[in-house]
Amino acid sequence: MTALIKSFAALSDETRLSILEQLMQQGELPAGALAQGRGITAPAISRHLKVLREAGLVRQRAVGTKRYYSPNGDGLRLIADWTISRRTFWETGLDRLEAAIQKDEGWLK
Amino acid sequence: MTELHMTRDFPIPAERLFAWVSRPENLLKWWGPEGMHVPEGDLDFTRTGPWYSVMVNGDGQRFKVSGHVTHVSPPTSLGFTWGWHDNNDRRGAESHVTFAIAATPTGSRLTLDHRDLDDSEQSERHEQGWASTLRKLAALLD
Repeated sequence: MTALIKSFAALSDETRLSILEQLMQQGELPAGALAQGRGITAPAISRHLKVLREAGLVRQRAVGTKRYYSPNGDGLRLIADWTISRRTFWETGLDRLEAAIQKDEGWLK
Repeated sequence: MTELHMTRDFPIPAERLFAWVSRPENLLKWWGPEGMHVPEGDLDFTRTGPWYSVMVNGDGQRFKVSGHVTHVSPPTSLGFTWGWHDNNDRRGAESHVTFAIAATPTGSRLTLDHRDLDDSEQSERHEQGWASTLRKLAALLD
């Protein structure tokens, strides 16, 4: 649960959400490419990336002095599992309700 | 953000559908995903008050969820709070579920909403909880 709160806290910022979206769409990118088009400074972008990294949503890879960033599948899966599990719970529950009503009320679809 | 909204139509009258989603003996027939059973619980949405259920899957894993039935208005709606417990029985974030039932030309429609409580609702609920605890305490002291 704490991991989820961390993820959502990290994403409750327009810039960070858009950074993650860009990485999900385009794959691994250097910090410079992420700063482009956002009109923010290099230190600002690295602060955002640090927050995303600590929340487990973004991975960092170093090549020499260059840093490359990509989405962290584990962190994203955590969010997906959490949202899907609620839907799955009720969807499968309603399927069972339908089956139980069919059986007990003698209703055939 | 995490709102869940689903509807399902049934060819039975609203009163009967309400019984299916509120009475303990009926809830146990469909509660939870396929393959889960509910060996333990107090699953009664015909009255306001606390509820809980422990579900166990085929691998013997236990899943406990609990909450408070907040309103019961047969045959049109009922609502309850929802919180999963972790392995140490600590209850997690609270959310709110409502079942709304409306008559249709062919029977009735169930609308299910499951949404997170925002901060103001959370604190209001906590205040209500405290208020009722204090009332009980006051009654004991009388």
